[in-house]
Amino acid sequence: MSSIGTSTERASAAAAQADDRPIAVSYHQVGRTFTTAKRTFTAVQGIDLEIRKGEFICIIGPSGCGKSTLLNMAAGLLTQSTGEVLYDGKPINGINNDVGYVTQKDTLLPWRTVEKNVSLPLEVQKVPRRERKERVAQVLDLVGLGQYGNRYPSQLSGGMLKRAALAQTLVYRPNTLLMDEPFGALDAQLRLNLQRQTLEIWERERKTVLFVTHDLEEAILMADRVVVFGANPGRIIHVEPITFARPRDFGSLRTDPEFAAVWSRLWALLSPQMEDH
Amino acid sequence: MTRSDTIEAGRPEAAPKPVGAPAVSGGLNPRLTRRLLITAIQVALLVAGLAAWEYFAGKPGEPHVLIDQYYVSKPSLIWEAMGLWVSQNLLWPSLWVTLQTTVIGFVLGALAGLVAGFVLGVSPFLAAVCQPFVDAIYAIPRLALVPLFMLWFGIGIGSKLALVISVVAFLVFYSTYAGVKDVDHLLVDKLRLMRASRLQVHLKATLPSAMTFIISGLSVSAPYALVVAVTAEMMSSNRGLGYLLVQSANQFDTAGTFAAIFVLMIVGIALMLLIRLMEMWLLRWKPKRPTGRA
Ligand SMILES: Nc1ncnc2c1ncn2[C@@H]1O[C@H](COP(=O)(O)OP(=O)(O)OP(=O)(O)O)[C@@H](O)[C@H]1O
Ligand SMILES: [Mg+2]
Repeated sequence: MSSIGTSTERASAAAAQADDRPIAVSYHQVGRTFTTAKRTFTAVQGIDLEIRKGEFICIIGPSGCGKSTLLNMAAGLLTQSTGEVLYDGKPINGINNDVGYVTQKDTLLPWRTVEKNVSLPLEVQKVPRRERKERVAQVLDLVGLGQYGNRYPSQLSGGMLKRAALAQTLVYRPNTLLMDEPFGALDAQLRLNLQRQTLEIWERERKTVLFVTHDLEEAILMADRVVVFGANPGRIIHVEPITFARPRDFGSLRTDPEFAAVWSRLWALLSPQMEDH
Repeated sequence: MTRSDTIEAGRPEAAPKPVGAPAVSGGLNPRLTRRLLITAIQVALLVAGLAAWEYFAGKPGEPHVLIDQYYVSKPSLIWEAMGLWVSQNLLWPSLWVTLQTTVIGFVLGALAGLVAGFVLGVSPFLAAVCQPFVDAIYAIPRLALVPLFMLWFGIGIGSKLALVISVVAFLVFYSTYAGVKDVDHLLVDKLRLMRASRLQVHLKATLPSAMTFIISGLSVSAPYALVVAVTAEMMSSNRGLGYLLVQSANQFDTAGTFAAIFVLMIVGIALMLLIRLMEMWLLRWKPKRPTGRA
């Protein structure tokens, strides 16, 4: 109980500090129901969340609690049933192409090679060929796929596909990044690399990031704020500001007692939610 | 020790080298050996078949004749008939006419079907409006239209083209339409998130995604194009392989009939090979089926 009290205090302190930044995405009393043949089902309800420009938000919660639903709304792929979702202060109307979205089941175009897939957004935006080649090569190296540019998606492993999809989104530098479990299928080493790279890019460019993960440690290591979801119905049960200095050194953070404290506090909130399922 | 001993001891009996096995022994790749063997058998079968045909067919009553050549002709006579057509300057012009009808009709029909299938595929409203009409016209046995086409386009290549187009266009239309409908919406959304225009979405996602369906529509309709062109020539014409075929049949010239059929078979095979090459190139991104059958 007392731990939740302190985190709320810290939350208000951090909010006061960051108040000058404009709000990029905001959810006001947002709910979403799905109607299937048999019944109506509330996926999320009463979501209130304001994300400031340049903020790195991690969303964590049990499976099926509406995390992807929330991102889909920000991307304009899904409309809310109640409440409002604003982007740059304006209601989202149709596809929001100011965001880049690495979706959970992200798919490449199977008839294009990895290279061609990654250069697709640049082609669409009529970036000149020379610049295209450069940027594609750069981002492929970043995700460790430099050797695989000529392969077709059917010739890649699951983790490679994930990384290619990530590269495809990073390459065109959208203002806001929506990332739905982007490192889910990767091994520990690769995961660590990509977490570092992502933070580096973010520290350089200060995009707004909404990052969904199942991994509490990942959330705390990367986020400015961790949003904890509960299930049945999907709702926000807690928002934890993470105040560790940046740039963050993962190695020393992991052994930091403060890190352990935050971890166990959030774990205490999360684990009963997970058990419910 | 004991364990490895048993394994060592077991080995010579377990894997006796098949002495008579044709593969590997010559140092050749077993796949290649197999391929060569298959080809050799195929050639042998073909030669044997032709030889038997030549040997057993002939005028009734002659030695070792089992079948009257009036019904089945024989390879040498067919060859002669073709030689005659060449010397009369009949073969190449006829072939040319039939090829023209087939290819031009196929290309125009495919284009029409592609465009129509694509437009209706991406606009559900238009599709809903047009569907009963399209289905109704598709239901007409196309050969029933021959008299009308003759009336409208004359006895020349025009009426034949119209018929080929009317057959190919529908086949390609339906497969294109299905292909466009089948596009993965995740891909479309992805393109739209990248700020692609409607046209870009169609060019970069919808069309390539429909390509598998379109290709199958094309490869189904290509042989039809030939069939329909020849049928039209047989029904009413004074040119083309179909005409040559009917002429020969009407004169009870069995060798000529077989010669025409033989040329048509070659044309059909060439057409199929062409389509297959195109298919391989356009769908080169598809995962290869695991090779190496048991
Ligand atoms: N199109 C849909 N039709 C019906 N129900 C849906 C649809 N999309 C999502 N849902 C339901 O809404 C709930 C939330 O789904 P969502 O995909 O947002 O979960 P999630 O939090 O991302 O889960 P996970 O961590 O497993 O990815 C789920 O129970 C899901 O079954
Ligand atoms: Mg999800």
